[in-house]
Amino acid sequence: MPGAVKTEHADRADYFFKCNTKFPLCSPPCSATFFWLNILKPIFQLVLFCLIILVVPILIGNGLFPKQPFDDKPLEELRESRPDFVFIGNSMLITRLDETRLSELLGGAGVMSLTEHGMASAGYWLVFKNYVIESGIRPKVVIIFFRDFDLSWPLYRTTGIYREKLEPFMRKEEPVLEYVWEQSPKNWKDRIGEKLEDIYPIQRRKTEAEDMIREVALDWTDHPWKKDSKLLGEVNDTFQLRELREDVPSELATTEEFSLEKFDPSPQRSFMPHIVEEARKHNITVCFYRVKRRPPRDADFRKESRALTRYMPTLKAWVEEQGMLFYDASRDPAEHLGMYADGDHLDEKYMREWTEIFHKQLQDILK
Amino acid sequence: MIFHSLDFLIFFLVVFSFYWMLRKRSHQNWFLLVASYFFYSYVHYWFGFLLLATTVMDFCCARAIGRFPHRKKLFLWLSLVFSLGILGFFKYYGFFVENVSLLLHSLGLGTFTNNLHIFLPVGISFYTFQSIGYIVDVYRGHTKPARNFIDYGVFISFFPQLVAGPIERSHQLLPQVQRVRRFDTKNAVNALVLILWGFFKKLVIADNVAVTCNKIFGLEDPNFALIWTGVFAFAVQIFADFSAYTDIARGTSRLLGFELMRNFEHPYISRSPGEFWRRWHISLSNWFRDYVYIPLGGSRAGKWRMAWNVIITFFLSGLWHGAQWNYVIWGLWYAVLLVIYRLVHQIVPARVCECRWLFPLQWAIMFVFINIGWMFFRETNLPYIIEYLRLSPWDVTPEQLGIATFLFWMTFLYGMPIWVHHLGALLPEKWVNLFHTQVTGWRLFLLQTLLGLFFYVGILLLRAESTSDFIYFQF
Repeated sequence: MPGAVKTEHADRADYFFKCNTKFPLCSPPCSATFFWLNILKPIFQLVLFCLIILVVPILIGNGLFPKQPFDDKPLEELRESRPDFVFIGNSMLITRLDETRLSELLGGAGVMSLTEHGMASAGYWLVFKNYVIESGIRPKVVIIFFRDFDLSWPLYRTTGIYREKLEPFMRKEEPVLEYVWEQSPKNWKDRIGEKLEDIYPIQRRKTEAEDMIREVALDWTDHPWKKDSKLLGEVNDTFQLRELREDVPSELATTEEFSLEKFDPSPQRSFMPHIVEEARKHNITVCFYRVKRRPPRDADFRKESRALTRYMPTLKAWVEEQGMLFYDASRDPAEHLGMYADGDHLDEKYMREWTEIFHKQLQDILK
Repeated sequence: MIFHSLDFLIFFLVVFSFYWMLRKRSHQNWFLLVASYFFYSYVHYWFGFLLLATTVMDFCCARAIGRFPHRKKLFLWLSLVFSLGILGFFKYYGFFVENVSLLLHSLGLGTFTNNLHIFLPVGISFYTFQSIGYIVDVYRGHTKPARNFIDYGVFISFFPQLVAGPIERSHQLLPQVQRVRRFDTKNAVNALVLILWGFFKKLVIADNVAVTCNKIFGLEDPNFALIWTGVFAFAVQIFADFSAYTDIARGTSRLLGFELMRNFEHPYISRSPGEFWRRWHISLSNWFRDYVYIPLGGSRAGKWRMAWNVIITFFLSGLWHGAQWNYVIWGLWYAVLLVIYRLVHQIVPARVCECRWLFPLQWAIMFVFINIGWMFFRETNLPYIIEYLRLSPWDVTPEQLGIATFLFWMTFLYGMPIWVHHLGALLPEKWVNLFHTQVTGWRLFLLQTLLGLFFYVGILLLRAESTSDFIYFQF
């Protein structure tokens, strides 16, 4: 019976360790019951506890949340619509391009965007290869939107919820992806983080878990707009940067953590040489379009770091050497501060205006 | 080194493994001392020198007090001047210069600019108070001066509680340092659950709610509903953040064979400001009670003197939290509340105050007062505080109310584990006793495992995209 063992010594476990000899040689002899209750059982419980905590989430992750299958809907859409111009990008593209307006400006030419919020260069590669190339269509130009160092940062936004977003673009085997990721410089923390990501795929379901909480909060909010999701839009509008105090730093998704003074065209350092190689193989022209980041209140464009100022011309030179196109919109004064919502995203009501600016910028390419 | 980092995880695994391989107490203490200094110097090496200087000074002064009792006042003052001097310089120099400059400017005597930008060493307020508590206890004869410098060094620098408390008393922690410790496997599961609960509170509750709080307090012109939603979010954030640190500190200490004091006892079920300060940051409020309030006379010298003592104590407490006027206002807010509540208790009969039917009302009122205090604490810009206090609830449109309500519910939902935990404290005692007698052995183990699993999966699924330092690191 637990706790019912009576011993001569006040703390038999303590005595046991002090003996520095193994059971049953210690004196006076420890009973088996005592040994089990006070020594083995707690150790067993501790080990069992650790095992359960560490292992069960692995099973949950792999069992309940398997990898998402490849999404072939965009592939079908591409084959069906056969657009003249294909755009690839993340929210930079989503909050800028008005496809309908652009199509009008191009005299009814087919325009299609392949986008995903939070996508970065790994996503651009997957979308380009698994959709554009695989569709067999030959658009006049494929335009890839990027920010600053995006194209040379293969690990950017490839973990956690971003990994989940990449899964629908991935085939079963992605050798180039694995190769570039494996070769990318990582510190020990990155490697451990990656290993933990692989062991605990449950982490990729963060968005769903957060959505569940949001849905409950919406349900409990007695608001006439909640069903139309207008409430969420109003919440975002409430916190647009123009509503914030001057001293509050703007919440820009930043690439400043990564910095390079010169573009490195090695195949293990980025997806760029792979994109360009596939483009050349299939006779597709790719234009890399650098978006303008949110300008400060007192200038037309954001001040660049020295590394970025040195990096961009080397990237441009390499792209053009490969026979592809490059456009840098980062200093275009036509895109003014008033057009921006939060971070580098544009306000919805300026999409049409921006599309017209964009058309002017790339009129030689969009023919 | 922050708790919620890979660096700390690896550091602790190494410390834990080597620590328990050492059989002798003296070896364990040496090892802990080295580990603690490594932990503290991880950010910048000179932090360690500062800590060492304080430790050496107080150790020597305490020994001198023991050796030369007729000169004990001199050594006490020497130690206090040194400790408070260092604290004052690093924490309050800029504040002092700024306010003197403002005063001179208002008197037409010119200004001067502060060209000295001093980096505040993390945790300095905590270990300074811990060492002051020790030296005063030695002076009063409540504690014998430590004879072994390593033991004393571990008492001051013990890494789980070094940078954000609890502020331990010498009679609680020092004996634990001085005695033999054995790994208690029975308590280990308990410790791990506490650590996981701490990480859950920090990474899931505090960091997620911080997003709402920071966004609202970043607005130029928030409405009444929004700002008070932000204050509520801050109330959740600061409790989750600070109590998380304490829980992780207690859990890691327990794994090393130490028992640290509880720093929080469900503060949001308080019915009065006095009760709040018996439940919130207990180690600090006890410290101010024993080393400031009682020496000033406490409540023994008449009600006006008592009021004055309360005001001084809370003024200093506010100032301890930060070298800015909003913290002082926050401290004084509680001073005023305490005085008012004591006066009310003198007028209103006790049977009315203790009437159980009034408890919900008392909680609600006190929770509102606590939130008002948090508004002063969160907003460091005084003009904004005035603006917030002027906001009218009648100016809020239905759409704005909808937005604030949604954010309120988001905060409430993230903070749900905290509310459940607080509700647990309201259960009748006989239920609690029944629970403790029935849930033992394997049932207790099962409960602990389920809780641990819940926290761990919660962290994996819901931890915020970005995390920040613990709030109290800045103090």
